[in-house]
Amino acid sequence: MENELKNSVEYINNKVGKKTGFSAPTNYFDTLEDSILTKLAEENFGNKSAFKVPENYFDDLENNILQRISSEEKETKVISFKERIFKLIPIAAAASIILFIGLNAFVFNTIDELTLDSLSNNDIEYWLDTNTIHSTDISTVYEDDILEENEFLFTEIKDESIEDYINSIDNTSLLNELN
Amino acid sequence: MIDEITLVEQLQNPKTRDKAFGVLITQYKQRLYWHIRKIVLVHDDADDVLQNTFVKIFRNINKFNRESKLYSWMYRIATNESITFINKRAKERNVDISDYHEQLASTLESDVHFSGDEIQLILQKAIATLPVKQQLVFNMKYFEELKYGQISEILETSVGALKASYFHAVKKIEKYIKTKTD
Repeated sequence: MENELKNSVEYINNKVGKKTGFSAPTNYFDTLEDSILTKLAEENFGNKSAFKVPENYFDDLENNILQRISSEEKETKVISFKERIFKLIPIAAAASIILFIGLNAFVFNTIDELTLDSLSNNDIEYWLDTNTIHSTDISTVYEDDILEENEFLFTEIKDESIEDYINSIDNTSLLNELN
Repeated sequence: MIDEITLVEQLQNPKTRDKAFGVLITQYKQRLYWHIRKIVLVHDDADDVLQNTFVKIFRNINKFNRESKLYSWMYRIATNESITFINKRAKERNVDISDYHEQLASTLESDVHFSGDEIQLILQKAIATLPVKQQLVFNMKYFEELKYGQISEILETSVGALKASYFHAVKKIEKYIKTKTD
């Protein structure tokens, strides 16, 4: 029996080898610990959910839904084909007007708007060379945006804010400056 | 690799249990996975069973009797979980467990996680024709190369009975391969 077994095992081994042919997805084993620990944690949550439904809710559910469906069916009106066509006429008219205006705006409007990008660098340089810019020009442009000195007055800052600021800054840097 | 006795001590101590469990998974995941995979054949099922096995090990670690070997105890849980799993599947499909196994083996050709060639496929189909006990013994002896003593501890069967099972399994597989190839 021993020899017979040995021969048969050898036959299988020579023919097939010791490989099963099974493979596992790449990286499957790398994340296995996490999956198992997650599963363990999940089991501690328990299967019971805290939500409750009113008594007999599920018993009456079919009837409630069926009732709603049948009442909605009754309300549905039958519209004849003619009626439908008449209804479509004003919509079609409005649509064709909008289409006409739309086409005018997008297709027939071929005048390019001027932007800074549409000017060549040479043109800009030429303009800068031939025109002198006065400081008054600049000031009129920026007049409204410039900050007023008053905005920096310390009377406007609350004592608490100053205290907070002093508390929050690093003492050593202050000492260094004093030294 | 940390030795079994120390690992069991850490696993049974609530303070070190979680960390030791991570070590346990890392040490045994591959061996248990392939053991389970050979029984349930499909990767997704093997993944399910493997996770259930580790959860069971974690829940029952305090009941583990230190006189037996940790790895045999874990192999035993993995084997039982696998067999329970395929029994359940067979029952859901209303077929006998051996029919279920043969059906499963015939789907291996199209399984993306089966990369074996023709002859390896024939061997898997041959194994699928065996009774479950012979399948287990063949897989553990031929592929996993476990000793009869170890298999005996895992399956709680006498060495004599195992030797007989293995003999029958090998003879049937040899015959199956011969009819399919020669």
